[in-house]
Amino acid sequence: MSLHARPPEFRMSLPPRLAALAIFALAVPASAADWVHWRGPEGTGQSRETGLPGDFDPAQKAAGNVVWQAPFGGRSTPLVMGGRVYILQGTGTGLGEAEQVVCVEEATGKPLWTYRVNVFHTDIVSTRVGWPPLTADPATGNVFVQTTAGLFLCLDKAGKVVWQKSLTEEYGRASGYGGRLPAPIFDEATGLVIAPMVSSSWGDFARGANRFVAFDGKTGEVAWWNDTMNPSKETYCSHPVIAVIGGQRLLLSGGSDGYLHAIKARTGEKAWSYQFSSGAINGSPVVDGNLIYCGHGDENPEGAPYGRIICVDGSQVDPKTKRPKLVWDTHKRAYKANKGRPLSSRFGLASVALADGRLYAPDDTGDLYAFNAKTGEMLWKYHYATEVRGSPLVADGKLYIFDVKSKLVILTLDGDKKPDELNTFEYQFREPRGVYSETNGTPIAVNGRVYFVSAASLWCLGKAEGDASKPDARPHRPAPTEPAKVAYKQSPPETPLDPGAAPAGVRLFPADVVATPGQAVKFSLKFYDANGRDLPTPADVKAEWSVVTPAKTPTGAQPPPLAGKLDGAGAEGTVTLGPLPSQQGYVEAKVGDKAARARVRMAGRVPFKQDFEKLPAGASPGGWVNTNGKFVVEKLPDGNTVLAKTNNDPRPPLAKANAYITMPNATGYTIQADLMGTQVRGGMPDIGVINNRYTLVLDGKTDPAVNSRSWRLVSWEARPRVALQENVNWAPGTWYTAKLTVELKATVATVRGKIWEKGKPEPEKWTFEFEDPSPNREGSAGLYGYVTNASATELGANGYYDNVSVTPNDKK
Amino acid sequence: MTAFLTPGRSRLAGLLALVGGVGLTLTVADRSLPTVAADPARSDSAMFGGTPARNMVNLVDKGVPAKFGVDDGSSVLWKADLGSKAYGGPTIAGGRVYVGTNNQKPRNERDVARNKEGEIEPIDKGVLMCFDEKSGKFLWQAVHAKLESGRVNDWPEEGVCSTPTVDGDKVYYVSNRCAVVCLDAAGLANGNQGVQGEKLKDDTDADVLWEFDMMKELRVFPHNMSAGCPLVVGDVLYVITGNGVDDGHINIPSPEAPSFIALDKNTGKLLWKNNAPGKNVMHGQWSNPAYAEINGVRQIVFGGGDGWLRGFVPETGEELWRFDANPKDAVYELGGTGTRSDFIGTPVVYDNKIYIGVGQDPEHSTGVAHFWCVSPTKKGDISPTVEAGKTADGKPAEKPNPNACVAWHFGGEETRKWSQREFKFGRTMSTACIVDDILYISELQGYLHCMNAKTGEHYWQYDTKASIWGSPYYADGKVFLATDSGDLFAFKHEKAPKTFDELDIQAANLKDARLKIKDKRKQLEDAVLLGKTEFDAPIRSTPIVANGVVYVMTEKTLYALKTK
Repeated sequence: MSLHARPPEFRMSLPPRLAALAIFALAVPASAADWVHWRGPEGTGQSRETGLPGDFDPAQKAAGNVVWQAPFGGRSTPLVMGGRVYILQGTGTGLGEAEQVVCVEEATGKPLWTYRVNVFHTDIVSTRVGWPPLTADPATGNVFVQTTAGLFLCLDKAGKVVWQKSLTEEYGRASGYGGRLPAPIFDEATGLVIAPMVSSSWGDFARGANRFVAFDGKTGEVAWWNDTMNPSKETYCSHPVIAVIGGQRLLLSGGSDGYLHAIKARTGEKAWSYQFSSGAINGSPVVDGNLIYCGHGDENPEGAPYGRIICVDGSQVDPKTKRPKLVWDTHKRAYKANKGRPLSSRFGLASVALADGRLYAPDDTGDLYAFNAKTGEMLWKYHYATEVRGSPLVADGKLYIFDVKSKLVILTLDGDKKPDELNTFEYQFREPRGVYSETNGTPIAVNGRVYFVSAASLWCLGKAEGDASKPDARPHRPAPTEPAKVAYKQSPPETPLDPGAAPAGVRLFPADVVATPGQAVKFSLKFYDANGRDLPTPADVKAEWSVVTPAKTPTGAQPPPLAGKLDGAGAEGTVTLGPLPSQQGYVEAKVGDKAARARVRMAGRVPFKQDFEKLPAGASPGGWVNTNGKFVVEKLPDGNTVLAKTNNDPRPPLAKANAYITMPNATGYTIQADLMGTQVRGGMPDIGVINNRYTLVLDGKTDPAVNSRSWRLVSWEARPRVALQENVNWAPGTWYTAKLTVELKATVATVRGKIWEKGKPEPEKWTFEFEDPSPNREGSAGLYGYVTNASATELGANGYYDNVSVTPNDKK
Repeated sequence: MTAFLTPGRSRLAGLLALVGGVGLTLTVADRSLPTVAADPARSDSAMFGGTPARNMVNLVDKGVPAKFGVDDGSSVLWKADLGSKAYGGPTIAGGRVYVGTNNQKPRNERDVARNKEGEIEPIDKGVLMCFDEKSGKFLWQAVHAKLESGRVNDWPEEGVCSTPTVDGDKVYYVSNRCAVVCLDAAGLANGNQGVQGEKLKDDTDADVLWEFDMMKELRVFPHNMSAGCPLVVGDVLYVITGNGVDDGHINIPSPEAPSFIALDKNTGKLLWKNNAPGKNVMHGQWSNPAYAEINGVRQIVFGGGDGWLRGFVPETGEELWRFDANPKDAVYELGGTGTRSDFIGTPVVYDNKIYIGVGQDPEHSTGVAHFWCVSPTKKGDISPTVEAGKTADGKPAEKPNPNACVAWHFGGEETRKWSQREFKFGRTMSTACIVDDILYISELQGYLHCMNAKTGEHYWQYDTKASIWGSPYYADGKVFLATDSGDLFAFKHEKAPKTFDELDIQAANLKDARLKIKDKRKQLEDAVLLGKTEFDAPIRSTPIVANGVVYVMTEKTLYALKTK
């Protein structure tokens, strides 16, 4: 957590008062402070602003404490930086439905720019897009965001892409369908931006798990990965915080595995983990000194009843169990207010807030609990809503929080006493009929103003000057010097670096790369101390570099090591990959008893061909993402070696999967593959090919209304944005050839797909030919498979793929 | 089924009695299954809604207080620990009490495992528990493993959500594995009957008589949870299969699988199936069938996942009528925004009419909804309107249906100035309770509505300020309603309720309006609220009165509370 109370250019060099003067002198707008972590400068949900409005009425505009209202609604939490407000939101309708980052002027709400992206390869539906908060680097003015489709964007002040990743197509990110996605966090001290996700990609990361990846904020290079190693209970949205505890810089987050995780922010190594739920953790932790607070609303590992709030001391980690000391736990404590029983409720979706020694915890059904943060004693419980997903903001003696049912509630806090209902302000938002009307966001308060999103608007509230009942009352504008008075608690410093310390470990940078054949990829070996800080590299370091043979897969297949040339002796190593269609593996450097690994992948490139004949049965193609464990090479009785969709596990992420072959920036290509499905217990698979985030599917289910199976062309199927269908009773046990091509034009794209029986002449006519006015402009080539009828004891239907080719459109 | 008590309607009671092959006395007909060997001294609640009419009323028990001593134990006859979530039941029949819950309070040490941290952790299971009615003693339990496919078909920790139906010495319910299960009410205590291959055979395990796996036999793809409460009429069991969408929420993997089925109650053999909603299922299907005889026409009424209500010939599954419970221009939107809904509540049969409100998965929150009184006297499409091309903006247009069978409707938009929301009636998970021609229906957002069952006249609405998953329940001149905040409300039932319209105010501004609405609400509260009892956990079930005992099932505890 760090201080963003002044513009970055002054932060390091000038004392606060001088900085304030400087702002004044340079006529920098009054809005001088930043709010770049969704819970504020202290990461606790507390704002130290004063003079904030306790009520508002948009009909009275400024006199009603509404400074401005901009037509950008949604469900995310606003971010304020450098005089601008940023949100992520869903936008558009029909084929134009998309998601965008919106940037408006802080003083006026005037739109400055929007950056629009499509939604694809996700089960998240339109009303749930744009939920995770953004993060930002105040030094560069860059904002970072994870979109619903899994695009990880670094945008500059002007809304231009600095760098981007497709988490879904590059790292096998799973989105689930509820829209609950964890937000990234930028760490000023390290310059890293850390993206949490549930993923399943390749090699040792093919296993579905909650992982964290740290990108260099300026370049997007991967600095480290953290694999929690535990299976995910489901997708989750605990947004991380960064804090220094015991002199060590830690990333703290609830996990999709039911644990509270502490990860060393500089290296990604696990510091400790603490299991306190049987389900996923959606609430975010808050930190106060060494104490960490977090809640959850699922079952508890030790049994009924569900939900709890815990407080652990991160500076007291048991050397044996490697778990932090539990300070209090509502599930293990007697509550007077609860007749001496422990307390449990669904603290499921909202996060706790901490302010002035009190912890505020909303449960899912609208009770707000206040605890003495030190002791865990319950102070009061206040019922304010019927359904809750947004988190509280505590500021200026008030608590701002949303009811999902289109309502903002402002409580007047009264210390340890329960707030008086008569002093509570409630505002019911009224959206036009048929418009999404939920309120799921979290308010923020910075520069004397309160910001939040309702379903249809972005709001800025500020106390009116003078007599609020008079129409000429003006919104309160904080004096330029005012932000400097707002002092936030700073995180304690890290233990000072001792350059002469013995190294605690070594790491390779970058930690994960995608390379092309013949490209020389350089790795640096870095030594670090116990707190993960880089030590000077010894001049005469002797390192043993190798391309290691990976561990066998669960199916018993032995993946080969990287094929290529490796040069390395000292602190630098270079790998040059050989000309395979695609491959994956690891580069390792050993120094004494310490070893570091980097992940190396050679993705498929256009043109690409794979007939699977050279791959051993039981393996899966190297270099593809989200393929290991979901697709497997199989030799059919006729001697033909093909790729098969696995059909032994009905869990959705395994039953239904996209195998990504190329990098996401591939475009202007045609994918063709032979596909075959079998019928098992009346069921057939869905099989298909993917081009530019469009999927051409042979759909195996029979629609009883027309008594037919179908072929379909889809994009963002959960919406669905694109969904074309032809009723065709395609036959089990017959090979078909599917061809999908996307022709990009200036603003539109023509998507063409055809399917015909293999061996027969290719038909002239396209099965689907469709102009997308809001096209996907690039995307990984891939294969799609879905088997719905596997069970614990019975295999489902088979889906097979053969002769996959990806060719550039201009060389047809 | 209050219809039984009305002079001139005894023909139906007689017929039902004939169907079941047992005689019924008029006074207990309302509380008894047609096929239960009824003890006239008892007021069992042997199924969801008490009777095949599903009307949430008890006309037998007296002396039920409006408030209970729970904390001081003064009202508590006994209480039993359940899991962490309990959504099935309670069913009270034949001296036993049945509850569907999860395994968070394991009753068998076999059903736990050591986790990675070395701690003992309950294994997630669906559990049907059986207790002794008098003492609350735990007798036996049916324990079901979770489905391998996970939350898409069988949501973690939701347990058994079906309210069991007891018919004689047999217990019927739908397990979390989407199987219709028939158990021996006596458990294994009287030996192992029926299926002999049960994997779990400890003393407290269930005695399975037969099981019908709807996923395996019919390729049903249940969405998130199977919660069907069986209806038994004569020798036939009717249940909704729960067929629905997959985790992508658009695709129905088995559009050809049936939504409504009839089984032989003795053997579990499939008698008929119907997949009328087909690919038009919007989400899942969690309503329940009711039995009706409308002007002499015997029928099974099913609410489908397409938002249509249908009547079927009990023996053949032939469709008698169908009714669209949403306006034609209503649209279903994923995630809850839309205006078209399906049914979570169950149709209630009262005085030759069918009563039901539309709703959605509670995760979708509230939204505009409709409550219907349908008088299905005609065949075919009896919806209020039929489609008539498209409007100028491309939406489906509608025109009156000459074949319509609507007695009345409540809901739609609320446009009055000081209303806090845009609709009159929000989505409901509740089933109506009708007594003395007065109807009570609650909705997810916490409102209880009181209306005239004959005319639809709206008397009042009370805001409990908490989500409601259960239903209003009538007993002894009071209407009980339990909420997510763990509050049990008791309202005064009146044959001629006064009207309280909180929006019928003259206000200068919003603040003034709020004060006036508050005042109106206070007046209503003074007039109708008799008592409120607080429990220490959310209540997502319906309070039930049976044999002089009030049963309140919180998410984790079953309370048996004294009346007099």
